[in-house]
Amino acid sequence: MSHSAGAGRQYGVAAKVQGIGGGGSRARLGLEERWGPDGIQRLRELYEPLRRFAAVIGSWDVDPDDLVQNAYAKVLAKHPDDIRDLGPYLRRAIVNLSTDERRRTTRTSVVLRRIGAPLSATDSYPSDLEDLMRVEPRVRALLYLVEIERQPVADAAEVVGMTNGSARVALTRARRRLRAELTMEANGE
Amino acid sequence: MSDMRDALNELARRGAPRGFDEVLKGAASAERDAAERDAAARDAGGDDLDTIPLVTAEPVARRQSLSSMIAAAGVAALVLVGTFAVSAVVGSGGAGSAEAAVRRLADAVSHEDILAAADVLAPEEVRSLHGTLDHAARKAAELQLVQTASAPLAGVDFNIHGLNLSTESLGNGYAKVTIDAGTFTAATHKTQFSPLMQKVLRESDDNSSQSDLAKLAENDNLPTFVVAVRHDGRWYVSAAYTVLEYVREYNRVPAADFGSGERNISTLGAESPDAAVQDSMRALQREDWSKLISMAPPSEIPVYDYRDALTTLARRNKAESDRSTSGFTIDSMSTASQVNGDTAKVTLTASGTTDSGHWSLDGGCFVGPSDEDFPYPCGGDPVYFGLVGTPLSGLDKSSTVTVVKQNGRWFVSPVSTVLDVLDHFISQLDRRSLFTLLDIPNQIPPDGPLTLGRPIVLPAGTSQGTKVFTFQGHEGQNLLGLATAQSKPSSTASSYENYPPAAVRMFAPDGSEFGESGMLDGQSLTLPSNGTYTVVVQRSYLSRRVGDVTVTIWDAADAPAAAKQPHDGGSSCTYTLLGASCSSTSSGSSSSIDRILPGNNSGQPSTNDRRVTATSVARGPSPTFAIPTTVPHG
Repeated sequence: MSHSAGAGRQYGVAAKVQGIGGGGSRARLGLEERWGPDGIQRLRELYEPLRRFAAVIGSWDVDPDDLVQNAYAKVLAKHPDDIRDLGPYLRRAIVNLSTDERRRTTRTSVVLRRIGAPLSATDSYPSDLEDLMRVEPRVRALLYLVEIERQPVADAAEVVGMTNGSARVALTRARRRLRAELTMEANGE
Repeated sequence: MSDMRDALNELARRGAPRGFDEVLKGAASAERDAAERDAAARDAGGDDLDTIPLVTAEPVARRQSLSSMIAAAGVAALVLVGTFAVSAVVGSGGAGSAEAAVRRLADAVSHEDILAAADVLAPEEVRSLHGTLDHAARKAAELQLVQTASAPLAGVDFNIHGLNLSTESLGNGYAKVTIDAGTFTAATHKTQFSPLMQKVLRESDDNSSQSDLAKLAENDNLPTFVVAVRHDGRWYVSAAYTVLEYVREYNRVPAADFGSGERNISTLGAESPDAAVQDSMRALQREDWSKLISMAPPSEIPVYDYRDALTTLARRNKAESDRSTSGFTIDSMSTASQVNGDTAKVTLTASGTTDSGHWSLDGGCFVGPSDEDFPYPCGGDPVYFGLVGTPLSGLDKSSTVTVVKQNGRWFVSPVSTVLDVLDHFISQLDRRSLFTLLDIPNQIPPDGPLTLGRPIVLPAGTSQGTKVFTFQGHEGQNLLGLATAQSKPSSTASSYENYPPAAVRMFAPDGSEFGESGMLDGQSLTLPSNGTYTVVVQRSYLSRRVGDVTVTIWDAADAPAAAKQPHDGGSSCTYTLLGASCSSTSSGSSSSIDRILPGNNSGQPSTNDRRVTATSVARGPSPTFAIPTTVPHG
């Protein structure tokens, strides 16, 4: 397993100034003033579940904490009152960040391939997770939300940016595929 | 690995957590740095933008997911319906000043007065909607989407107050009106919606929201503004100019040359309808954005006024994309046009390649390189496209590009072309498709009683892909089904061929829906009580290229061997609200595993649990995990 540096890989998240007041030169309140102890405590409570979620949806070589950190950076730029439901908002941010990261990696690979440069090593992960890692990341996250966190499919679908119908189909496919693969493994095939 | 959940949990635990404090510290630092870069870029006032996030949409706050989307679609439909009559009055409205036009618009919104709102919208932009909106109105009334077309916004309450505006001239006859202060509130009153919309919104309550109008675009460091234009001495709010001006400001690209499109119209466009379409396609191939821009009618989409901004943006994007060419080629192209006055309909047939493979276009039927895995039907059932993309189902081989004649030159009209597709979509939308799209298929009038053992044919490419039946079931009755397709997907690489080409949704006598049913996948469904059930049989979203699908449902004991054959081996699970108890069979022997769903402390189902049993009948390799099923309360 390889992890990126502790400071976290940057995903190009342009955390925008979210000042209070009007106009472009509006005064900018500090983090503590904006979020206060209650807001920080709420972020603290969300950390563990968010990290688990990030670990599931993120590429193997991306540190889940990096995804959480960048998602936090996005919300810290906002005033808490501007976010109606912090948990789903942060999860959706993690989904977007993770998607961006994969697109960037894919683009880089394409460019490297085009110029004939050697590609960096592909992801390697424990064999017992191989089947799961082959599932499309958003569907993997969907599985996690529904199977582990017991969220309704509709809510989980919204978090990962899918329609309810697509999510149901994707879940069925993923479950069936995993079952088939796991069964084959169990049979030593 | 014996269990999917184990794997998910293992994956979720991967890595060494840095801990909340470290992560928050890093986030605060990143947020501060980004804010400083942003401020520095603003101060520099140049093109040295900070990194633009690839994330195109901010995460959305969660409300009730499906119902929110449906509500939005419903409201949009309501707006469409009510707006149909607007073109009858456009041209006589406007306001004496740009600011007055915006205030009139705000006042109209506050009174949910669509006609008054349309009165201050740019006439050219509203007029083109007339036919489509009229069509939508008639269809909405027919499908009972609204109570009455004359009060389409019944149940929705808008209010704008505290409006403080300032105006900046952008050119002769063009003004930017900035909203310096103002509050927008919206509230819904479900009981005032049509009975159909109330069913759609069954799980949502009345709600309300409030927005600070001055801060709508604050995340992008932009003020909230609209662009007003002057026609014949009166001022109107222009949606097209507003959008383009936002694009320009957001990307910090050169200012528009307002009115230049109208002034230079005789040098723009093409000499014939066919030339307009073919020139546009070739411009697209060459990435000649200037040429492409010159093919849009200036009065409809003022992209010519913004040509410097848009070409700068295109160059910038190309430079950032690391690509010398798009890889998009046109190998063959032909057009045929039918001219009627100043409007022509051009049928386009073309094919070529991209970096990813071959593409082809036949009228409105596009087949792209990736359509092997994600084929969509051309002119098919709207249900395949989902609620948002459903108007795409209006595309078929007869779809044309609309070309309009202005000042003796022919221009490709994107708005009219899109509206044609929308018209076609509306004309083919029926109650069955609409109710399926709105996820209330059980509200479709039943096609009759379900006869066990009788095949149900779900034809391809029509709304008949969903059929509804009533079924007199009794407690403990086991049902099992089988879905077969006329053909396999054209791509052997398609991973979808392994899945049933249809789905069965069961609704209990009280209207509640059972969770996912594996009835077509070798798992029988045991009915929990006596009563009249509603059985919805639908083609699968994934069965796009398999022709007709036939579904048959039997008493499990009467089902043929094929129906008892799951893809994944034999398993038998009983699901309750508290947990699942699964047993598996392998080579004739049985074992049992009790599973309790997370969050429950007891493995003993309560006595008043309503049970649904899903049992796979076939014998085979051991299942490795249980499928949790949501079981409705009685």
